[in-house]
Amino acid sequence: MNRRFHHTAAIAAFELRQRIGSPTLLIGAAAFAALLALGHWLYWNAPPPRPDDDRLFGYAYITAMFVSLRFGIAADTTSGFRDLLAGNLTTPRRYIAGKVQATVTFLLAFAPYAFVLALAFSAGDWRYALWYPTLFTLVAALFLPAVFAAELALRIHYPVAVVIILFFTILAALEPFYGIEAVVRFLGLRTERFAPESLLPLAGRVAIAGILLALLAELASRSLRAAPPKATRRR
Amino acid sequence: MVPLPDALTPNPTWRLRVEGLGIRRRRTWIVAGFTWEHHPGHIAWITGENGAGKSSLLRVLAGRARPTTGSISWDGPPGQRPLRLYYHPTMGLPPRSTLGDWRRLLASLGEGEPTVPGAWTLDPGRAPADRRLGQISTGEARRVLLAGLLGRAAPFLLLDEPYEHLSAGARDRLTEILVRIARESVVVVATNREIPARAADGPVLRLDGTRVEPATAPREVL
Repeated sequence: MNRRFHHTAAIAAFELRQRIGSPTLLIGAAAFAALLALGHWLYWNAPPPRPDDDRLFGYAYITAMFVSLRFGIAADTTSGFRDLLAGNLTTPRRYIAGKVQATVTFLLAFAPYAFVLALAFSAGDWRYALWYPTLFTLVAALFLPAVFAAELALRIHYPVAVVIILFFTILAALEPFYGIEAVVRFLGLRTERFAPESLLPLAGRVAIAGILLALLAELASRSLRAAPPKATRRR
Repeated sequence: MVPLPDALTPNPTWRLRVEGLGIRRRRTWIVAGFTWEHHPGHIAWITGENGAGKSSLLRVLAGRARPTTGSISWDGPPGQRPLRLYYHPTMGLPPRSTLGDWRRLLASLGEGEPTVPGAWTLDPGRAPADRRLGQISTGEARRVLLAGLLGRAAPFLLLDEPYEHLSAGARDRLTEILVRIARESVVVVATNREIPARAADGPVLRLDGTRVEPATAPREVL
């Protein structure tokens, strides 16, 4: 394996092993399960016709991401681990790439967990269990660049909180001028339930978000790179 | 104490060179008009009072900060990467990771890279691999961290207060490792402590106001 990818994969694996044992992941996973269970309890106890909603899937997913979605760069900065790794044992670019890879892997790994729980609570409703984890994984991926920027700029351990606050602030600010619907459409968030083709605009924006994330990662790795002294000369 | 393998040989090809270096922190000059060069062979020491600017100078020498004036070069054989390892006391290990995970990461990152024989002996190796890094003592954590860092062979090694939190035995072992690394690499250490006698044959830079006083024997200075 190419050394660059080898380093990136090693850092990603290290980060993921840290997360697996972390209380925040356990709390996030437990909160997701509890809220989804509550949503389904309300659903199954509602008099027919039962409501055609997400049965608290959205709240459950956002809560889980609120506590567990992060790149881990702020925590490494606090502990002094980032300084140790980036520039000494690997390059800043590989370090950042490893963190991004770990976060994307985490996001993708959460989807099957959400799917299994959704399938179990909905008593085998495949369409429901496939639709919401897919939709919310795409939504989370759409906001990854914002999460990355918030974590790096503010060095906070819960960047999703900032992104949520910012999102609703911007939404409120734009609402008088464009209306919420226009903003929602702009972000590709207007979808039709259980209609996969309605996810295409969102998927397109996720691809753009991926490019944006790569650019931000490059900027971040440049800012971490050692500042070269003036008039450096090498023989 | 485990004897260190004698695999490192003097390498005079690397050179740290400083010309007319000036470092200003806020409105105070720490160093001004400093010209100096250092080769492998002996450890160079930076000493001075608290706040004298030892860490700032070392950061600049490591290329982690820009000098206000002057230039620094890390010269070496053509085509070889002048890797600079830099340590400062606020570096740490992620508390939630285990020793085993850390060692696995080190092994992965160091695969195919030149290593320093015997640097691992600084790692006390007492704690089990599944012990979290946040649960080992401060001194043990320093040793684990330093062992990992020093295990990577690099032509330039710049250490800021590496003796902090180490026991007397660990300090001796660290000195022994540094002396061996210094035969082949440019090693500069900033310290508040007394310079170990076995490594006292290198130059000492004493920071005193804006002056840097190079001295050949540390006892003339301390």
